Amino acid sequence: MRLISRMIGSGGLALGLGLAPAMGWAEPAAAQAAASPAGAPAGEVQVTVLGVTSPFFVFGIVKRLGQIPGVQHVSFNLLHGRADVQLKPGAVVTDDDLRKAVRNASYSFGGIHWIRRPGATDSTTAAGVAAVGQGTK
Amino acid sequence: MRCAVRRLAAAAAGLFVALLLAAPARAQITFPSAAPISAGNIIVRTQPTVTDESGGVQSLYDENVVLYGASPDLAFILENKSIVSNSANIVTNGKTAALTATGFGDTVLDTRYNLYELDDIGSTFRVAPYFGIDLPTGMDNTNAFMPRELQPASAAWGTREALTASWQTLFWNAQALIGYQNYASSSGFQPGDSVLADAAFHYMIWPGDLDREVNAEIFASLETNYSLSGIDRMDGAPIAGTGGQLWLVDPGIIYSTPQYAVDLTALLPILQQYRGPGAARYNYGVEAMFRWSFFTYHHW
Repeated sequence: MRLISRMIGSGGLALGLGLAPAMGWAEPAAAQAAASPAGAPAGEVQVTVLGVTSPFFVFGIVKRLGQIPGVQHVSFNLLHGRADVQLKPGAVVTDDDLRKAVRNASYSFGGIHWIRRPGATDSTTAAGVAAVGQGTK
Repeated sequence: MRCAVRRLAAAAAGLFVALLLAAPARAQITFPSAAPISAGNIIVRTQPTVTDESGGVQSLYDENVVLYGASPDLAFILENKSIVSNSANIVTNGKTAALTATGFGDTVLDTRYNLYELDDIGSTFRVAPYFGIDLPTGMDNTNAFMPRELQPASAAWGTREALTASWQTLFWNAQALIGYQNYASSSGFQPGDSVLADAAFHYMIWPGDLDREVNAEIFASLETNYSLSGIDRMDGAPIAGTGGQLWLVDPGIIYSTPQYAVDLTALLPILQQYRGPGAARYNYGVEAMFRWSFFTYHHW
């Protein structure tokens, strides 16, 4: 029991000290975007993920999307089932990469909305949104 | 000769005790669900539990569970009772003695396949069958004066088959399981088969706003566990007081974050009926649980 309370304590301490962003899921994507080098705008995409219901299950989808080469940061909005994915400057990530990551996380793919494609100069070049519906197996 | 007499006396005392004080069928708690496990996700759970029954029967065990997402649909679950300590006031020849049997418990290897899935924004309904094998890895004779049912492990091979369903939303989760468990005979001891029925409802009580990145949630939980067990047998002869039905209701609270969760649950009996006299009656139990989520990129 002492071990358990010690582990709980260290987890809570990590959050309290602001170490949570280092774990990869607590910092808003907008804050990361500001850190992108000038002249090489980073891509940003929103992925609708169906089936995610609580923070404990957010872990899997954030890790799966974060595994894609070129992804810098992922955050998740539970209410809208939306993953905000921030790419590294110059990184190329395809819709298929995102789709596969969602399925590997054991969730269903709901849609993709590119806020800024890699290399685009402004958000007017955003691509379309895939239809959002129920995902079944 | 003296040693043989002592062994015979121990065996006789054990049998006598078994007739007087038999442990009832124990319902499982915090049953397996059909909740999502990402491919490569490893969830480690430790679950120390204390139960109190009549006749001074107390049980303390720590169940450790490792879940591994082998693919988006297939998961393996390894359950092991690492420490089991059962104590009881045993009456032999008119004298009462407090005895304890402590040792390693058995292990179960489960496989779960995600058979049906209906996902929407903030909700998922899933159905998954389970198949498990009970591995007799524990100690079944750490104290010869304790009844077989109160030894840390059964030392019996067994199988379990279950169908579980989970309906999860942003604000509440409902889960249900129906299962069957049977054991092979071990050293003349044949545990009775069991039918298990479990249900749980979790209701989110904090936070109120989910339209942001949510780093923690608190749930109130209410779980119910029902088991109907056949009578245990020793060398083919029924052991009185074993078998029957036990129905528990378990209120609890859950604190959950992306990487860990902590639960505290009380186990309260609302119905218990056993076959024959001598069954210890379930008074209460308390269970704590700690889950930690890890990630590996190795998966199928």
